[in-house]
Amino acid sequence: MSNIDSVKTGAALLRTLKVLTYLAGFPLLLFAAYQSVGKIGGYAVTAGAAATGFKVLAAGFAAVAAVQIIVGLTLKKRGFLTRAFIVAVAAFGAVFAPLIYTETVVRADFDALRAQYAEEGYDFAPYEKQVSDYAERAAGRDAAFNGFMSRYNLSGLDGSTRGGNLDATPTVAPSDKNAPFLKGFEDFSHYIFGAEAGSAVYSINGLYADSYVFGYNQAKYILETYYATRDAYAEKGLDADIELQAALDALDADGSVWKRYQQTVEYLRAYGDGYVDPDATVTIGGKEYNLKKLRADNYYLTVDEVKDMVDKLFAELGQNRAMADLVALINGAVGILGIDLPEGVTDILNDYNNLDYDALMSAIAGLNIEIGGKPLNEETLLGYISEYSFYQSPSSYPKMFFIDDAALRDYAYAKYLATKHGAVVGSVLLGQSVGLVSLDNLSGAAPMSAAQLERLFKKIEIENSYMPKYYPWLAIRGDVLKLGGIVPVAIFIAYALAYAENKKLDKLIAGRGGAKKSI
Amino acid sequence: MNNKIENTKFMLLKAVIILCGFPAIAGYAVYKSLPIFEYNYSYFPYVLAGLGVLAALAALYYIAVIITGSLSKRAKGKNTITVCTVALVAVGMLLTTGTWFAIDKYVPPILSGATQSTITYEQLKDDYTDKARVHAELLTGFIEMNIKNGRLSPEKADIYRREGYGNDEVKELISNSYNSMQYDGYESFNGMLVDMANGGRLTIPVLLHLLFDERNAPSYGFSGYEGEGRGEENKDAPISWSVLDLQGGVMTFSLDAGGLLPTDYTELLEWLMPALFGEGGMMEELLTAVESAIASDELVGAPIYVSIDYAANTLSISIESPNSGRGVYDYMSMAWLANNQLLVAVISIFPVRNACLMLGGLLALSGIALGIIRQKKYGANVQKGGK
Repeated sequence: MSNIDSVKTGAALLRTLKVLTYLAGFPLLLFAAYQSVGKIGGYAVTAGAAATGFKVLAAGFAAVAAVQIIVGLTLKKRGFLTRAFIVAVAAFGAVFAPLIYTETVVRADFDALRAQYAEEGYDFAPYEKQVSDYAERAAGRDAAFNGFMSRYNLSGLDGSTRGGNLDATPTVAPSDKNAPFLKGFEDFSHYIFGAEAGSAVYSINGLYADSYVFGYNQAKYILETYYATRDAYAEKGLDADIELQAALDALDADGSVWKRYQQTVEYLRAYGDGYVDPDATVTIGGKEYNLKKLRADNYYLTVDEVKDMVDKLFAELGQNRAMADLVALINGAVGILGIDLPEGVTDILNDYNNLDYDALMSAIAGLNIEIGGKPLNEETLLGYISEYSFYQSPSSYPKMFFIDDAALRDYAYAKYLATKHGAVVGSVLLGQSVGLVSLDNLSGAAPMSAAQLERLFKKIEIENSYMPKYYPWLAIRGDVLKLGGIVPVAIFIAYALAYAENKKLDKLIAGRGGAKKSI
Repeated sequence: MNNKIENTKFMLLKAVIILCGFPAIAGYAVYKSLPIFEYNYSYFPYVLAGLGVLAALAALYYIAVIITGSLSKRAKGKNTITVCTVALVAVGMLLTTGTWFAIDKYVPPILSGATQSTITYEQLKDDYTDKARVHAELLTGFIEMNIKNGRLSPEKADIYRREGYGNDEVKELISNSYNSMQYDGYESFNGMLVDMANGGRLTIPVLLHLLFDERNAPSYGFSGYEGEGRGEENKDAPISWSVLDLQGGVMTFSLDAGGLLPTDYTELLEWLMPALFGEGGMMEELLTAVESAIASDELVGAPIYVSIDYAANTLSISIESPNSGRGVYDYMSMAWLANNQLLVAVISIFPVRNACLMLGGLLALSGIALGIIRQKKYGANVQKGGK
């Protein structure tokens, strides 16, 4: 190998080493920090917030690069040591400033917040502990949140709607000043349930829109309202449900505000018998509606419809060959077993091909069966049907709107939304089966207790108050501690290697008799 | 003489190099497309969409080869051949990698829009062979169901099976079945309720709304059903659809019957149950009456099958749509089937996409190789002509 070749190889080796050393500095730190940031991007700390500390580091890198260029241009004549020193100092500052910020400002803030919650009686792990296990904590917080969300089948933080209202009346946001909300009635000014708890989608009567699925904020507000009111009544030795029923019963009195409201056009167009003119229209929120479309009974099974269905069913069964066999079998069995059937039942058996709704109801009542403490009769059966088939018109006030006591009214709304509205949209919040209750999932999910809910809400509130704020800094802290020290050193060595490489190249050029080249 | 050999060598080398470019990609793409052709040949010419795209790209590329070739041949400047080579490589990259980068960016939203997010680009990207099978089976399954129920003549069964979508009767039946489900089913419901059902929120209240709320009048009115279903349908009346038809599948729920009757009657119940639910029991016969009531306008207005089983004091009730007897799938599958030719066309593009992305580098290499031999061949002229 000639001398020139060996110099060339040496220069190439030095150049490679220079690049590798440089990469082992800031770029490696940024790469590591990027990986750490990826570990906390989720619900607790959103991906955008998680990158705060990383962005500061990256900006530092850009600043150091700028310093490098400026130094290279202005201090050309000085030795490489001067230039290397200045750039290394800049790199030191860019790396350790965020660390110092984290260790002083962030830490002091964190400790103050922790002390504040400690005064309220809530404790969370100290800074020293969280600096090492923040990623697990963020994941744990997300898991707890997701568990709650899937148990109650909720939709995001503020819920979502799938197409608004069944009767096509407008959906509105409380923040919209021009929203065509109803105007209240007599002394009852318009009321929007939970307007302050996040941004839900409403109907003009102040209830959530028909297809609105609660988000975290709304579910929390409903459950907190429900349990807080119950507790408040319990402290006075009262039962909120009994009080609520009493308040609703009082509204049935002649001349009550509810009775007066039931005479208004607003109510009658949804529920009144007199409003059947199919051509009549009404304008709501600038849109014209056919009155027929606004009628609530379009959207639930009326007693007449149930009657027709049952009559039709018996008409079909009456003509069925197997019915005669069945009746014969029962009559035979009753004789052999010596059972006394109630009169209603014998009537049905003997006259099965003339059976209809009314006959069935009187026979059922004659059985004297009790279900869940209630006698099984027409009223209970229709009650069961209306559990699942009902419709609250979105364009008129519900009865509970007229409850005088504000706390009790909130309670009524919360209970209605948690059970009835929740059952429609698949997010039941109260009862033995919560979340999605459907025909093939009748048992839904198991509910959380009031105490569990309170703990969870508080935990999420506390964690929300510090995780998004501090975790982005903790995420880069560990990497800066581990790799930060290398950065100025790596830059310094890279400069030294560049210097050595230039020396070799100079030798090469001198050997060829060329002009001296400065790099 | 020498020149002639030289020329032949050049031509041969050029041929080899060109063969290593697009033809290699095409070979790989065709090889990977074979299962798709096999499954979906009846969707000719849609099934060739991918190869059509490849042919178009190849044509553009070879135009570039010819142009750069003739420019190189007549090269005057020192750099002309190099510029031509760089340009050819760039065109190659643009046509392979570039095209697919653009498609990867702009096609996914169009695809999920067209299929209401029931099929995503991600699902197709690497799993296209399986998707080709699934969509082919939709067609074969449809044909079998309708041969069985007589909507397609059983005597011509083999023709339908062979010709698949290429058979006009099959094509028309698919279109009629889907349109009937679309216009007299899907669109007759309140959109909000359908969205809730499809969005995993088919609660009991929503189901009751869907079953019993007033619906928009049928507008398509496809009739002529001759199924072997259990309920009797009027052949001349338009087919009516319930929400269960759109959802497909079976819904089963259980009731605790043990606690329902007073204990005085337990003995009677034990006596009756085998007669009702045992082999050849009366329940089946009774349920036909129930089903016929359900199909009437007073109730659902569309047939639904009901079955009841009794075991260990538990009544388990299943409700099922008569879809398979009618020769249709659930709404989503029918929508796929009705648009299968387009989906097959989209699927056929993926082997081409993957071949281009994987082997696009070959095109670049062959471009460079072409440049090198051009330099060797024509470069001398430039030197001689020398600037």
